Amino acid sequence: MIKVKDLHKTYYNGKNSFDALKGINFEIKKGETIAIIGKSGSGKSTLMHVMAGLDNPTSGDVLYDDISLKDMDAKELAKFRNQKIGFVFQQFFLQPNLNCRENVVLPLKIRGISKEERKSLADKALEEVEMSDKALNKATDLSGGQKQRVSIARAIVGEPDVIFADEPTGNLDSETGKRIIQLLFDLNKKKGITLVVVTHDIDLANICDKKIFIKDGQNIKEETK
Amino acid sequence: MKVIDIIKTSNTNLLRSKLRTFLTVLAVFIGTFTLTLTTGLGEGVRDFVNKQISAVSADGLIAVFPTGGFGGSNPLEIKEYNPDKQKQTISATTFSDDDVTKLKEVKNVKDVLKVYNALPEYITREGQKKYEMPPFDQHIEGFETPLAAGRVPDVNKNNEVVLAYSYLKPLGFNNPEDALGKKVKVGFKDNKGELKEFEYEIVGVLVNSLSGAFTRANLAEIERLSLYQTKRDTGAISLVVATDPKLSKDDFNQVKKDIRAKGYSATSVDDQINQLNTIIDTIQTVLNGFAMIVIIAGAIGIINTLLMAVYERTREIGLMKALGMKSGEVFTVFAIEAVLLGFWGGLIGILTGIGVGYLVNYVASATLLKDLHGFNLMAFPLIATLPILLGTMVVGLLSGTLPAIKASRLNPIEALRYE
Repeated sequence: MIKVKDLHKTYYNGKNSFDALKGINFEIKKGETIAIIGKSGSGKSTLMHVMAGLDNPTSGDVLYDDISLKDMDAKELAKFRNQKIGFVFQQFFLQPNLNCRENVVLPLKIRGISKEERKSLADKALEEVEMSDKALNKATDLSGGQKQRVSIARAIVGEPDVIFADEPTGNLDSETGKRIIQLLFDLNKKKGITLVVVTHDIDLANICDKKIFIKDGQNIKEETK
Repeated sequence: MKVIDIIKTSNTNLLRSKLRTFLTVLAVFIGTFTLTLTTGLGEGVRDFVNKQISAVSADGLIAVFPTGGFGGSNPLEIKEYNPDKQKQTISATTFSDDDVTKLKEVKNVKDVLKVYNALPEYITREGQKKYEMPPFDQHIEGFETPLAAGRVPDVNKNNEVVLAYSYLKPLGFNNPEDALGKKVKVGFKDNKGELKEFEYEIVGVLVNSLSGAFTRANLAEIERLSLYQTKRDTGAISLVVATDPKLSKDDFNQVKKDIRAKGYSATSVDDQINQLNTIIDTIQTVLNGFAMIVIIAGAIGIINTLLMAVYERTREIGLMKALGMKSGEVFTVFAIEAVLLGFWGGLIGILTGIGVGYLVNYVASATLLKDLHGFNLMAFPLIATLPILLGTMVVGLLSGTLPAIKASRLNPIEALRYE
């Protein structure tokens, strides 16, 4: 259960200021799939960053099962992201010098899990995304779709409550994109992980349980399937 | 994150751009290599000086000299005797029995010995050439006499000497044992310039060192020779004040102060050691200063390398932070990279320095320092080399601080957007 309460975010640049978020309110139930839709510059990315604990709101709060992000310091936020949140990025952000398994293992390494356990959990995650045979391949040798699968494995390996996917199909052709979306939805059903997709693609948004439309820093419309 | 994983991450990062890491380590290496050599040289010379002085030392003895003293040529350099040339003269200021009485009054003084000086014209033996000779030295009971062969002169036998090692070859001996029991003749001039030869039996040979460069006879013989040369009781050229060897350092220093208060100059072995060590320290500090400058250049290399790495890895740092890595851990990863750069540069520099030092010792002892026994040009005690290693690691850590702070302060969102 995630509650977004009256979120404001203002960026300051010298004397100029810019209101990226101007009071956003909504709720997400556990296990739901949510699409946050808006054009570029609408504030949807900022909203995702604040919701995921990557950025602090100027005012307002985000609550995870009544745990407030507002009350957390930088260290607690880092721990929160590590344990509760998985990220899937448009640009994948795999480390080119590492192989697939080493990339998937990173959140567990940061969490301080032992080497043997890390390896077995990573292999399980790679199996879920059907990339077991590429475990030892360098990330640079993979196709776009394969890279996104590995990054999904990295997102689920720590068994998070929520996955934030920022334009997950933005760098993929439509056929590959569809398969990636299918994979994310399968994982949502199978594991009950709440899925928050940030996108401007209405087709992708249409298959989500709930659509939240963002314009000029406000949620102007909410549609439930 | 586990400490071992942080260290491994740092290590992996360093191995990612091997050439750059190598060049950075090389800069630190040159600095520590130089520092190791300069330190090793200082330690070697200090060690040598201390050994040389303690070879002529005896516990609790204080030498009392008039101001001035005698000069002389290099005692290790043996020249053939030239009767037309006279260099050695007896010092004008001397000590009388009054001085001895005065010094005996000083608290904690057990005995005062008069030291005479005999200045020979030449030394020779049957069938050999005549050679110039530095002042005859006296064998004093209580002084350590490092011998290569034989024994010290008998207190009651005036015709016995221990020969300086360097005179073996010129006098036609193949080894120290060869010389034992043989006779040498030493020529002395009196104050009217009349030359007379005295004959001695070699009972011992001194080891090959600076302190062993002066042929010694017993005290009474030196006194007799001194009287012969001056034809009057000129008194002793110096005095040796004996104290209890078990005297505490403070009491011993007090004795020296009391003697100086009476208007004499008083030096003991540790004074000479301290004086020489001060000179060595100064030279070493200057040399080390140059090496330090090179290390500072190496440190700037580390800063530069890691700043570049922060820019290169900005997105990666952003990702790691998004995945939950704490700022402190990001700092530590970079700090350890810096310490490792310092550590490897330091370790390789020190090991290479020691290796080259031993090579220099080996070559020097076979050529340049052939005549100086027990002198290694360079010494590398752990107490001098270990701080160099720790020092370069600290320098690494300090150099890494700026880049590490920069990395740890990166905002993950902006870092992920960084192109």
